[in-house]
Parts: sequence; structure tokens; C-alpha cells
Amino acid sequence: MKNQTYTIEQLCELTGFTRRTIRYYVQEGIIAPPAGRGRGGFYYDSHLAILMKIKELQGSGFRLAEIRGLLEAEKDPETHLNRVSSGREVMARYQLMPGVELLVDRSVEEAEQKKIQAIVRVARSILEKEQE
Amino acid sequence: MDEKFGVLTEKNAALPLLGVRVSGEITGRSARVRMAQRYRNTEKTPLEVVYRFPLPEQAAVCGFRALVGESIFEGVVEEREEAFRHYDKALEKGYGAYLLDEERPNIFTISLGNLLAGAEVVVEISWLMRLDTEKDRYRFCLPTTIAPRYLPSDTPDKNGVPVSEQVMPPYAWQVDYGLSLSLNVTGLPAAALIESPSHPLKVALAKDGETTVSLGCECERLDRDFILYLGCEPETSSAWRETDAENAYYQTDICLPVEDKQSPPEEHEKREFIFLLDCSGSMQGDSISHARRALEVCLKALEEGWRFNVYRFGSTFEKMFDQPVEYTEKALSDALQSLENWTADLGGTELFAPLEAICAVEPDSGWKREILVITDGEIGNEEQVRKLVQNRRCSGRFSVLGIGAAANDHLVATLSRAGQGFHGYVFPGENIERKTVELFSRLGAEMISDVKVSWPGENNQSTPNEPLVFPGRPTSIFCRAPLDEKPPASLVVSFRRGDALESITVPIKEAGTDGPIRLFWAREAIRDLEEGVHSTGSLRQERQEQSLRSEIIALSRQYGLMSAHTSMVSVEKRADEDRAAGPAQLRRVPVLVAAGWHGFPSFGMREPSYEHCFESAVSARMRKPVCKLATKKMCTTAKKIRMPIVKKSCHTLTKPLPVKDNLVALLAVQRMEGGFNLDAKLAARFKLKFNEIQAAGGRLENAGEEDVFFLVSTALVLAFLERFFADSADVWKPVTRKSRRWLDHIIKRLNPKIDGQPLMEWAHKYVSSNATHNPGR
Repeated sequence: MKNQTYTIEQLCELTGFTRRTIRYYVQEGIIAPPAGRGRGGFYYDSHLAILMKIKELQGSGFRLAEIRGLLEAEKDPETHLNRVSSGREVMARYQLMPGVELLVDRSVEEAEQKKIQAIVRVARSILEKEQE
Repeated sequence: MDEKFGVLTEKNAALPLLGVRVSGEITGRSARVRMAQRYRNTEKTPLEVVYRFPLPEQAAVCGFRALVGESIFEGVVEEREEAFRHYDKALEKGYGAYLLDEERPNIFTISLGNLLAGAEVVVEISWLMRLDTEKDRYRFCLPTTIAPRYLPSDTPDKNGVPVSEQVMPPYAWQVDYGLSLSLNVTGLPAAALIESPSHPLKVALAKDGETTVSLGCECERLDRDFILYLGCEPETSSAWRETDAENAYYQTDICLPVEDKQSPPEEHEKREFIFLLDCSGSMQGDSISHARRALEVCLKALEEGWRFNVYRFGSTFEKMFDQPVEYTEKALSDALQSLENWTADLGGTELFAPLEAICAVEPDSGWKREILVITDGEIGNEEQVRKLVQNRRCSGRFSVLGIGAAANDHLVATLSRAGQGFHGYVFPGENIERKTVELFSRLGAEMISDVKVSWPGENNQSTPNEPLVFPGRPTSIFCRAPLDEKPPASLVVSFRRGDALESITVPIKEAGTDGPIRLFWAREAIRDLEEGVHSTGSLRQERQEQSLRSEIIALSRQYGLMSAHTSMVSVEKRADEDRAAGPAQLRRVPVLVAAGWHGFPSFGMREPSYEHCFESAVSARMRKPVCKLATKKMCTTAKKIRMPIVKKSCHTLTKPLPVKDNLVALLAVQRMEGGFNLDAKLAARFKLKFNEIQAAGGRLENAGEEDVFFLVSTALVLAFLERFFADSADVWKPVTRKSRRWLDHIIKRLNPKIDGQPLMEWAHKYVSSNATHNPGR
């Protein structure tokens, strides 16, 4: 199936993001630059999918700094979300800060993904505060 | 050898901003100011240049244009996202585009799209502003850099973008664009003061009464506010009327005299003072020592029967007492002891939490609470703080003293507006003790409330809707009314002072057409809407956010003013051959770290440990100045800042600094129960011999059981104040009220005498024939 293309206006309409925000995400490397003629180029489904994912995570209360981490983790599980195997159990490992990790049983993590992410977010914000 | 110096881009090219030039006219309390920024693309590809810079919080930004060669591209006001769309679409087409966004009322971002290789553009921003009044002088302030703002770790993103992206520019220790400035001042009284605590000045007097004030050196660093004090005549209430095609605009400046409350406070006057001292890292250095001293004087000026508490805050906050305590000898002594050990060691500027704690507990019934906040205000969540205070006004009146070379004037002003209190500023090197005491002494003034003005017509809109009028300080109120055939000759202003209803009649002067009053009115009306106080006085929550937004946008477009919801944009359409080929490379212009940031002794040194905070800034290497605008030489302060890095900063400075201000020194020896405890050192400052004073105590008759030394000492201090500080009576009278009452009471009861003369008569004679005073600083 041919990949659908979108203009920036269409992306704004579909995602609810402002043009300014989408430009910012491109500038920051959160989404890839548009294809084709520079700034006036077009976007693919893959752009749309990431933007929708960001929107969804924002809806759950995540901020961009955290979302970036989560998106990176999806791309590269080794560095951010280390899934480790111990015997028959498969654990998901969230680093809260250097030296502090949260281990979650994979099945629990899948079933309660939002809750776990909320716990991680709160824990990180507490630890950040303490550090300051 | 690399011939390039200064701030370079990754490709070793010079940064595109060459220099900033500010010019303007100041007439009385009004100023019209223009800022020109010159950019040049020395790279080989088109650039998108983004520069974030500060403007005064009260600026009514009314003009934005780009000058490209002989062509001028005027900016128009559009809704913020719509303006960005115009800008972005122009960039897509290879056109030039210029965009000005308001991130905060005092933080703006300029974006220049598709600046072609080798091209030069000047952008001009113009604004009108009202000057602050400080006693007998006006204060003009031009901020030049944005000090790093503290944002709580749980600050939500705005429109999917971190808030820090809106308020924080990239930073550098060294940039080679500089500031040149020239202001024409008219209407100054003869021999009026013209001075600046921030910069050396050049002052040129012209024949027609105009004075030109410019910077002492050709090019200054943009790392501290430019402050200009201009002496003024004592203010009196006045009113003006101005018209445009549809409306009449009125401005009245209300100035009520200060009344010294000589009578003892009524028994029902129950007052509670909360002091909130910023002990975040950004207060390190001299600021914290001076602020401690200032607090000491305030604490000593409190009166028996009142309550007080002192908070300090940084990333966390602490309070001296669990709850406000009664003012007693022990409480005062405990407080002074704790205060002595306070340093600026509490990290970030988390102002919200202590304010929330204060607001959470309302004062007891019948108690009036005053909260005095001393801070540099370097926070990015101003709106959150404002809403908290605005919604909890019952918890007390909030006044704010802004400290530092680049204090956040928006936080200072918005917090004091929301808290219906005063505000003031102290620039490093200025006398913080005196300024705090001045602010404190105004807290004792009677509240002016229920201010009403007899505006003409029925469909008039006045602003600010809740004017804060304080004795001794002019307050401007504006009104828009439909054009009237028979304009009124005067306005009647009625108000309540304490329990009494009073009114004054102010004659109206004609101010012509299409002048500044209509823009001041519009700026204030937009601010009322932005800060949630609209024409019927209820709070923002009661109205739909969208409808408020539309109202702001409509006003902003009608009057051509910037607001939080609008931007100014202009597009330079280009012929096909002139269009940018290929995408523009983004260049963010870094700003200088504020002078004295994190306590590097005022305009002194920097510490290596903070350099890592600026990793994102472009690498700082020196290069030869290239800009023609104003970079021939850097001034002496720039040289100071290049001093060698010092490892030891003054974080741990706890030794009290000597009090150089004699007034503050006198007020600092006030006793808790009233009276002054003069010592030998203080007496020597006035060239008096301490043993003579002690001997005079021995000759005091009719002293009853009272301590003769305290009586003589108090009489002498009051005589000093009367003789040497008569022009600051509005400052010291409220602060010494309890001591004057204490002495009056004893004099009436016992009529003590020295050498046959009544005590005060003797003290005045003794001071006039023996004491001298060198005002010094």
C-alpha cells in the first residue's frame, strides 16, 4: 500500500498540534524533517503516528522531556528501558535516576502500562526535586 | 592562527546579530522608546535567526518593522498562531519574513526568516512606557538580558512544548554585539538629578531645555538592566483628555499626600507581618547580606501586640516559627539570631510553595496581614504565582522588593498587583537596606480603598479596574469613553482613607489627538484581561477562556499592540531570483549571563562550576569585532568581567557587612519596647563623644524609674533624624513610631530635664551645636 502523504496543515488538523509546535518537534529532531522541498515538504504516516503517540502521552500527563525518553526507549530498548530476563520471568527495568531503578514484571507492565508510566513520572519528579 | 574571535557558530561564522541601539524620548513620566537590532548573515546559506530578549514589563509594544536596504516592511498584529502561519508560509516560499512574539510581558522573541547570505537587516521595535516613581525621582529601566529562570520540575508543557523553551534563551559568557543608547529627556526641573546606578552616563544639555543622556562608553555589554533616575517635582494630581476618531481617552494621575499617624494605634489595630526572603543561589553574594540587614531593621520596627514570622525559600522553604508569633523581646532576639545564620544556600527559586503555605492559613479575624517578599524573581511560573495570590487575597497584602542586575520585573509587578501591595527595585550597589525600610515604612500607611472616578458617559471603560492608590505615590487610571460634545472640565476622584470618605477634584487638560493615552489605555485594558480582572471586576475563571482571548486579540489588533495572544509579522515578498534556495539554517543568538548571577560579587567574577549550565550555548571564543554598529571598544565593566576565574565564591559569607547608611544604622539600634540604644561607634559617626552623652544621662532630672541613658539616647537619635534626615521623614517616621510614642509618653508624665532644659529641647540644641553628618552613600 502506498504511503499516505500530508501537508503541515493536514498534520495540524489531524493531530491538533499547532504549526509552531510541529516545526519545533522537527527542529528538535523529535520527528524527522518533511520529505521533499525543505520546509514546504510533506509528511508521511510515520510522522503522523509519532505525533499521535505524543498527543496520547501528553493526554496521560507526560511532558515532552519524558515523552522523548519513552520514544527513545521504543527505538532503542537497550539504553533506556532494559528488559532483563531472570529465569522464567521477564522484567522491565525503568531507570528513575542513576542508581535507582524500578523493576516491573513484564506481564504487569503490559497490563498496567499507564499506571506504571505514571509511577515512573512521579518517582522521577520526586527524585529530581530531592537532587536539587 | 585563527583570526576569528568571539561567539561563533558551529561553522566558525560570526553570529548574525551585530548590535543593538536604543533611542527614545522621555517626557515627565512617559517614554517612547525604539530599539534597533542589526543583523548580517556572514554565512553562505540562508539563515533563520532567533533572538530572545527582554523589554520592560510595562511596555506597550506598538511597532515592529524590518528595514532591508531602502525598503521598510511594517509588522502587523495577528493572532499568535496565525502570525506564525504567515511567517512559516513565507519561509516555505523563500520569502523573507520577520516575526515578533511575546513570551511573557517582559520576554520577547524575534525571528528573521530567510536572511540571505551576505544580507543585512535592521529590525526596529518601538514601545511606550510609564516610568516608575520613587519618592522624588522617576526610574526608567531597560532590561538587556534574561537571567536564567527557575521552573518547578512539575511545570506542565504549554502547547506541547516545555515552558523553558519560551523563557530561556541560550547563554554565553561573551558575545560581541553590544548596546548603544541615547535618550532625549524633556521637562526636567532645573538642576534635576540625572544618574544611573547601572552604567556610566554622558549627559548633554541643549538650549531648549532638552537633555540628552547616553551611555558613557560607546558600546556596553547587554548583561544588566540600564537604570536611569531623573529628578522630578513633587507630584500633584492631574488629568488629561485625548481623542481619536471615535473615542475620548482620559488619564488621571492621582497623588495623595502621606499622613503621619501620630496618634497611637487604635487598640483594635492588629497587624501581622510575614517576611519572605529569597535564599536561592541567585541571591548569593552581597544581596543576601544586605537583605538580612534590611530585615533586621524591619523586625526592630515592629510594635508590641503585633505578630510576625520570617520565611526563607529556595528549592525548599523554612520558617522561623511554626506560626506567626507575638512580638516580644524573646521572639525578636530568636529571630535576629536565626537571621544572622541565613545564607543563600537553598538552591532554586521555588516561590510558589512558601506563598501557598502562607496563603493556606488566613489571618485571625480582625488581623491585617502584610507580606513582604524580597527576591530577584527569577522564576518562569509567574502566572501560577499570580493566580495563587489573586485567588487568596484574604490572606493579606503582598509587597515585593526586586533585587539584582536583571530582576524579573514581570514577577515583581504582577505579584504586587495581584497582592494589592507595593513594589520596588534594588540594583546591585544601591542601598538595599534603605530601599527595604522605605518599602516597609509604606506598609504602615493607611490603605486607600474604594477609589471611584467620575468618568463621563455611560459606556466608558476604565482601567485598571482595581486601581491601587497609595499616599505619596502617583497612580495612573485610564478611561475610554465615546466622544462627547461637551467634555467635562474636571474629574472627581472619591476614595476611602481609613474610615473616612474623601474626594478631590482634578481639572482636565486637553492632550490633543492620537497621542499616547489611547495606547496606555489599551495596554492596561489588555493587562486587565490577561491577568483576569475584567471590566466587571470578577475573576477570569468566571468567563470562558476563549472569549477573553478573543477580546484581547480584538483590542490588540485595534490598537496595534502586542499581547500574550498576538504577534507582529511582516513578509518581504521576493522576486523568483531573490528567493532563498534551500532550507534556512537555524541560528539562535545567545544572550549574556546576567552580571552578578549566582552571586559573583556584583560585577565581578565567575565560577567555573556554573559554566556547565551553558553547555548548550555556542562556544565562546574571541574574535575581532566586526559590527559597525557599536563595538569599537568595550567599557571598563567588560574588562572586569573578564577577570580571572576565582574558585572561591562568597556563598559562605556570613559576616555582617558594615552599615554604611547612617539612617539605617540609627534605625538598627531601635529597641523592641521602643527607644534607641546609641553606642560609641554610632555616636562617633555624628562626631559626638559617647562619654559626654553618658554624662548628660547623669544630669537628667525627673526621670523617675526610667533608664536615664535610654532616655537621652532616644532623644538624641530623634534629634538626629529631625535634623539630618528631614527629607526622609516619610521613611523613618512610620518605622520609629513606637519609640516616639514611648518617649512622648514619658515626657508628658515626668517632664525630664537636663541642665534645666526639657529633654527634647536640650537634645535638639546639643545636636545642632555638636553633631555633624556626612551623608556619604
